[in-house]
Amino acid sequence: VTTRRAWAQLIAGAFAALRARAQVRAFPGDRADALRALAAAILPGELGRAGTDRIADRFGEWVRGYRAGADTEHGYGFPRVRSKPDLPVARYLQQLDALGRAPTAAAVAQALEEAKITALPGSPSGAHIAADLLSFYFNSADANDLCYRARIGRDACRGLTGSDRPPQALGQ
Amino acid sequence: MKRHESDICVIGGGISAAMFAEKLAELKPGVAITIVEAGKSIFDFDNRGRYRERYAAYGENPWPEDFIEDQSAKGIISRTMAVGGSALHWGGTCNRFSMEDLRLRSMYGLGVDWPIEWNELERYYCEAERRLGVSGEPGPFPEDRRSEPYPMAPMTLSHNLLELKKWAEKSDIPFWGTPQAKNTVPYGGRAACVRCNTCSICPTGARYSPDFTFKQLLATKKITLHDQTLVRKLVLDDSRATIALAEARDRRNPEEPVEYRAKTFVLAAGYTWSPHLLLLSRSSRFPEGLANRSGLVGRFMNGHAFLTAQMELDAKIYPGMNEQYGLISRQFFRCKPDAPFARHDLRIWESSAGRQPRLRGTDGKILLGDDLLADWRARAQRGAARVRAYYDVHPSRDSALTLDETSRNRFGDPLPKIEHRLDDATQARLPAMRQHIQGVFARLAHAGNARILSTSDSNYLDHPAGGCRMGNDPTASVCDSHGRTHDHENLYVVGAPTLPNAGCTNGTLTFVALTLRSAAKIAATLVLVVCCALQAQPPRAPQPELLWPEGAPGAVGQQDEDKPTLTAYLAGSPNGTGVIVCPGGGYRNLAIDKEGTQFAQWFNSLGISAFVLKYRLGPRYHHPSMLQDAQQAIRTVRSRAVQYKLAPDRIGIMGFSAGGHLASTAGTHFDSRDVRPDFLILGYPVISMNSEFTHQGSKTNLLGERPDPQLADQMSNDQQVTKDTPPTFLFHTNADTGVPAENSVRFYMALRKAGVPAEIHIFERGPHGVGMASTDAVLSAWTSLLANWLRERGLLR
Repeated sequence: VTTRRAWAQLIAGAFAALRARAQVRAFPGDRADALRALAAAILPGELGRAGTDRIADRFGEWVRGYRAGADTEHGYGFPRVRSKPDLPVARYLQQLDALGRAPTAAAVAQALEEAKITALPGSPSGAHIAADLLSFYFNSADANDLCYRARIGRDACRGLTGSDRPPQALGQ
Repeated sequence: MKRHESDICVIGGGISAAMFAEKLAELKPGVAITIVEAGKSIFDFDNRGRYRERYAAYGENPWPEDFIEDQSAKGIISRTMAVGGSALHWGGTCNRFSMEDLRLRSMYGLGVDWPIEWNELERYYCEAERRLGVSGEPGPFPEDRRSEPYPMAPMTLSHNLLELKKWAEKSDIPFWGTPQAKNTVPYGGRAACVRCNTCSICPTGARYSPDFTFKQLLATKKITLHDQTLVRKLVLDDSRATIALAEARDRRNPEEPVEYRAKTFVLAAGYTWSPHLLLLSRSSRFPEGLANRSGLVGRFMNGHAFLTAQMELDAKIYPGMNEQYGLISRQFFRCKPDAPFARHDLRIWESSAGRQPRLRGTDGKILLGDDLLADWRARAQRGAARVRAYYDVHPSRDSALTLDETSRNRFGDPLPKIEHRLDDATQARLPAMRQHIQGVFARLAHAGNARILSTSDSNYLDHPAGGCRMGNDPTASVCDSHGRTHDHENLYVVGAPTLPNAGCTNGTLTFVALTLRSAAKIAATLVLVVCCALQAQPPRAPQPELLWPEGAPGAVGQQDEDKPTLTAYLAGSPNGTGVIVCPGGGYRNLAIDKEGTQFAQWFNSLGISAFVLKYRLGPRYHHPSMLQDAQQAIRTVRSRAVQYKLAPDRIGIMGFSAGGHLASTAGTHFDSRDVRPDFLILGYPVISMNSEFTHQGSKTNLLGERPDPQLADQMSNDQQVTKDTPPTFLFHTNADTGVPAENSVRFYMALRKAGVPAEIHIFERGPHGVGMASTDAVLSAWTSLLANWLRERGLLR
């Protein structure tokens, strides 16, 4: 009986993993518009609707490219190797559904309060899709440029020439 | 079981192993070097761009599979176990220590002194910087003077760093760019830096990593590399305290043991795995592990502590311009001996501390969209700096790496546990040390109108080292200054483990400099081994050739002793220099092997062709037969310069003892250009024939029982030196009672008086006739000194 139960659990676990992986690969599926609406509600208006749509789409790409179980950087002086946790895409989708097709900033703030999100995650952590979308954008090199209104290009290979001068202003 | 044999077996495949192998292969072409590394080779440079993208987007490990799951440790370690080691990930910072780090005991009564002089280490720092490719600018302090410029110009200070430098120097503390192993121009076959901001995975290869060196060594077949092979134990010879073999397992085929046999073993596995392997290699003969007669293997594990401050200041800082590059000041590297001990470096980087985007405002309300951006922008108005001081702390004996019997790898070997402990003196001064650094932080803040946002103390020792500390006293150290273990003459430890203390700045450059010094030493000791190996192959042995095919002038018979010969040892890669070698033996015998063949082989390893001269001897012959033979040898070699690929103006003569007399005679009694040697190398030579310092046997054999005093004067070569005498290198020992050192000293003084370039080395210890002294850790340095002299005279081109 124990063996049969163990097998059943194993098979159920394998199915769950396959379903989760399929959800990751298909994200956001038929909720693309809802994700874009969420981005428009919580990202800076300066970006314009086209800009927020683009970031929503990039976030979708990012989720689809996520590899649960990949080793994280351990580098120098980190005695333990950690793996990337699962990304709870099913929960993302539920949270999107709960926010509706045209969420307001106030509704999102309320949802984050209820989810007890106290700080902007350093990187998307799966606690709430709104927090993770905010993290995805505001921790990006593009957001850094927007904040400083300058072409810093933090993640780009930019050459050393001219680096002794302030970066160009955005729009120049 | 698989068996592998080599001349040198290097255990570990990190930056020390790379530098060691590269240098040894240069000094000893043809020596078989096998490198055994537990981790994988990650030689996929083409994939670096992709790895970097994954790292930047997802925080994934940019060096996939660079660790071994079950090969871990308790304590602060780097998990990286791959060909290249921790220097795959490193930031490339290449600071030097200072003289104070080597003289803690004599200057401050703290810790121990290192068994090495600063000036010597400085030369190896230069070499390390050349090999790694370091860009930097010299600091303003005279104590930091350098004997060579940095190989590359410093990296451009970013706008942020220029602002921070302007701000920081208001405190009257000078700052400049931190030297880094990053190319500012293409160098070493690698590209220049293009400021990608991800130095832990450099997509262009501008930041040095050892995989480049290993790939080059493999491409030129200078090493054999066995990766994914874990050495588990070193095994002794049955009857001697030398290492016979290393037992290993290939992780791809773990059931089959692998055995490495070598003449010399070099442990280059870093501060964790080097002492760990020595402890693992315990046996009934050495129950505490190998090289551990002192009980200090795994002891005095060290590193430095640090204090960090985040400061907010009036400067327009754009976070992300070049976050990996920073400023350094060495103003606090020195501490007056009569002042409270406080030594540290001082570093500044751009920072975004306190000005990252945040989800909740000061009132606790959630911020979204424009509100979040506005809040961020408001807080980003002022700039920020991260300021850090790495400060000098010293380990206690209890600062230890031990075997953790409760934690084992897949083979059942206990894994290491590291617990750092500071000695009592360090503990006692920690509050004052921290107060001093806080004062420096306050000085920076006050002078530059900055606000200290936070200060944090380290909870671990950074840039760790130690575990096999070096020293002259075998009861208080594991190895000597070259890394040779006191207990096992063919076992060396190189790099980080040998450091007695970790200074107050990054240690990698020091690890490499010490390793290069070890490589030079090991290369010198390999001569005997190489000679023996070559002598075992008679078909390849050079054959003697009659010096006078038509018969030697004044020959009194047809015996072998009437037929002087010259044996040519031609360099595989000739550099144009040739040396005629005159063995000693009191003008009665010839130490052909010890003072002839061995040196010929050694010269060949430097690219110099050598010619061993068997000259005529007393009492059958007397002067001038010997000189005729030496001059004929010079004439012969010079006449065949094209055939031997020699420059006719780079043909010297070397001699030992009576052979030294003959060589010095050739250098002082030539009557035409074609028999004048271009340089002299004299080992414990007989020089005088008319003083109490002469060697009577040599004198009698050369000049007869009752020589004419005028002839004795004429053959006292110190009296025959002129400005035309060739440049000369002299080596002697103070303890030589057979041929007193006065012989060399007199010759040197005569050369000096005549204005002839000369170098003399007199070692305190050592009897007459030591030859290469390969088994003497101190005396054997003389051949390295000779190589330096040859190099400086342009004879190793």
